[in-house]
Amino acid sequence: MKSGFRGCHPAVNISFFISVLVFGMLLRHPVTLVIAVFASLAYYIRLSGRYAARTFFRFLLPMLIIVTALNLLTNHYGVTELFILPSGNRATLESAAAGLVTGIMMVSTILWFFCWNEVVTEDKFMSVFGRIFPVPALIIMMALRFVPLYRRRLHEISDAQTGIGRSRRTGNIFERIRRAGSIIQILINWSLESAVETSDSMRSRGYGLRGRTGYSRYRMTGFDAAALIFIAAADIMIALGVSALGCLYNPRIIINPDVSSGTVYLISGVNATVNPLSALGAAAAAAYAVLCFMPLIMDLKEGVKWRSLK
Amino acid sequence: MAQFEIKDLCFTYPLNGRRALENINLKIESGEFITVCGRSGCGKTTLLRLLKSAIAPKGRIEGSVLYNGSAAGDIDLRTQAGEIGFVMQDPQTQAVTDKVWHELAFGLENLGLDNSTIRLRVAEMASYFGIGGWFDSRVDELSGGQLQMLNLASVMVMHPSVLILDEPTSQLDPISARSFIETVDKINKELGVTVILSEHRLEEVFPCSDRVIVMDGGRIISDSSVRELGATLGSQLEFVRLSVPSAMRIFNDCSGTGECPVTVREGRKWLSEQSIASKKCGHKSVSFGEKNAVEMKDVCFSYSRDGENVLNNLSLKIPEGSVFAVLGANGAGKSTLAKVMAGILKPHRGKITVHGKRMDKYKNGGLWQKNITMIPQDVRALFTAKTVAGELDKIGGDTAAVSRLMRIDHLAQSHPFDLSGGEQQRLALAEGLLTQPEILILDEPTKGMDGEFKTIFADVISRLRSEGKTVIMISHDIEFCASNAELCAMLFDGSIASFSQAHEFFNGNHFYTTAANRISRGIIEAAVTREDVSACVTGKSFQ
Repeated sequence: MKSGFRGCHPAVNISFFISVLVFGMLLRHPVTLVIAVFASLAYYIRLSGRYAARTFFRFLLPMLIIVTALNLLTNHYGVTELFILPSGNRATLESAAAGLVTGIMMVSTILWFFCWNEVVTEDKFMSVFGRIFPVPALIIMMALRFVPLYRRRLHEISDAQTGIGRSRRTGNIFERIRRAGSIIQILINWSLESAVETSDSMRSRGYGLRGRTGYSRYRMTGFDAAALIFIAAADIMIALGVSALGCLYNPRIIINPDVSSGTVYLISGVNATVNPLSALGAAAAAAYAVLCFMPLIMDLKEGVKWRSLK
Repeated sequence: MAQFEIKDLCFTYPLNGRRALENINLKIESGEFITVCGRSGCGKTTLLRLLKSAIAPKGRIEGSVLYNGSAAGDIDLRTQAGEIGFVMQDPQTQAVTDKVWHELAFGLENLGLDNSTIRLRVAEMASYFGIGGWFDSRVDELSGGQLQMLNLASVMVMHPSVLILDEPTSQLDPISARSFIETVDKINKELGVTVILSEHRLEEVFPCSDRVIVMDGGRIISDSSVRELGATLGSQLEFVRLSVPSAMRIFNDCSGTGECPVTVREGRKWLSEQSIASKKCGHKSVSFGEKNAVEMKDVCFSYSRDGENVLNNLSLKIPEGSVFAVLGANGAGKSTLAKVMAGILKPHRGKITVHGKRMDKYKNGGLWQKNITMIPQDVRALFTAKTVAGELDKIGGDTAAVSRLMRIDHLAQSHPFDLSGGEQQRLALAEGLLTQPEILILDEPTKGMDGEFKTIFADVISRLRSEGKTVIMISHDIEFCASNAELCAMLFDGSIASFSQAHEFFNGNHFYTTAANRISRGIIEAAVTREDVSACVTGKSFQ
């Protein structure tokens, strides 16, 4: 069993990822973007080490640049003109900023999905999914088992046919096609035959009786429950603050537009407005930060404990 | 009250109107260990399946099957699922889920048990079966032996009071088969679960059995204890005599008196008390010509570029006209070796010559035209036609004679997939013979064969040999190789660990050798087969 966040109940893992993914797509505030990208990158590095850094520099960073550049070249809204493109269109600061925001959102979303892959193993996913949809879950799982089985069987059939002089790599083209066809035919016959036996085996073990339960290997501990409550609380806090964390990038960049009181900062030379964060917005951003860094905090805390026990 | 009571049971299949069972009368008490044996297609499977109505074949049933006094057909599915466990032949197809732990839990989920009960039962059974080490594995990563053990465990987890096993070890190697049977025996002795088992390989099963039921043509022809069977072996059918454990057969050949020995230990005790005509068994050394059918030199093979070598600098010379057997444990690379020899898999290093010509010089499938034919381990991979006759006609030649020889002439109109395991094996061999190869490579040819057909098969091999053909067998069947192979090689760790004439090979091994050799070791020198031992004891010839 893995430790830290990976050792938590699948419900904790999955609700965490759903939360960060949903808010990651809703929030376009610079503060939250920075939080998301740092948290997801840091956790991915913690999970995959140097490989993560390599992916970031080889794949994600170029993607960020391309998305920003594409937006700059194709969208021409905004009030701050940077330069004139060869096509005669304007390249604006606003469209560059919007591209950058979209790029960062994509990067952090992809990073979260990479983390999901490491954390939410097939087993964990099926245990939660199986609770909610038992029948589709069983079908998916059987399919997962049959894919490698059939692939191996296909090889076996092809080898067997070769060994008796019916190789699909010899003879003229018509013979080859016919032989390839009969390989598929054997696979189908064989699989139908074994499906009958599998269904006998299922019936023999009581499949189809009323009141089937879904067994989960994972047990909800007090810690898991606390983590779930924390995620829910953070979700509520952030949801309340979504509008307080609003931003506009078109036609002007306005950060926190709906703050009525407080100072308005105009960045010199740039046509952008940055209002101070409201108390609600600050609280939501803080909640978002703690939520995003939660897995890393859990892992590090356990790491410290290991060291002190040594 | 008997646990199962079968009265005047007849069963007819609807399609061909064939009577599969006739007048079966049988009582099975709780806690008994019963072995059902008989030739391929004698009705064993039909009988066993009728004991559990959830998987009973469709057809006309006359007579009655009572389970604890009530008709088997009326028992509700929940009771059946829990109380009557059934393990089938093919390890692969029985498993339903993708993970070992989930497979164990599957039956209990169906019964609707809660999480903590399932957790407890799964934990208990995993420990009982020693599954802990691969509890987290994927089902498709397991070996056949492990998988069949898992199938048994996932039935046992439901705490059945009866365990029915239909040829459970026919796809396993002897070592996995032995440990599987030992586990079944343990379940019977320690938990008092009734065991009803059908088997071809009786060497391991007989010592644990309380009763042996012999079936032929849909009837029960004998129902007795193992020792009674041993005492009356002379009057039993040929195939029974050919299938019983070596100790029993030697005892019978030598017209022994007193209690019939069953195990190797009992056989040794009995043998040491006999007066033995000749204390040394002579073997003729066979010699071969200079020519080699297949020659391999420093061959390396791996399934992927970075993978481990399955064959590692393997060198081997197989003389023309020999019967050659490759033995070795599961996973030693035997099947891979066969495929490399047959030119199906290409090694990444080393040289293979076939009849003195480099293998890669055979162009456009010439290697497989009347030259090399290989019959795979799972013969179902061969069958494309809808009937047995069609299957043979595809290759052509003297199909009538070959199908008579392989005793499949009565099955000409059946679908290849409807045949029993042993019959499928015979069909595949018939196809192999029709291709008229110079070199015939057989991967586990005796799998699922009954004792009687093995002797026919042995005749076929010796006839091929007398025609100057080369036969290469990849086999787990030590007894069969000892009587029929001339040269034996042991494959271990990707290369040939030992290579010698068959009798030297089996005399040199301590554990990986025949039961007859283990019985006679230290009593008669150099006896390998049952015939050797019987001949030495009586001074007569047994062939």
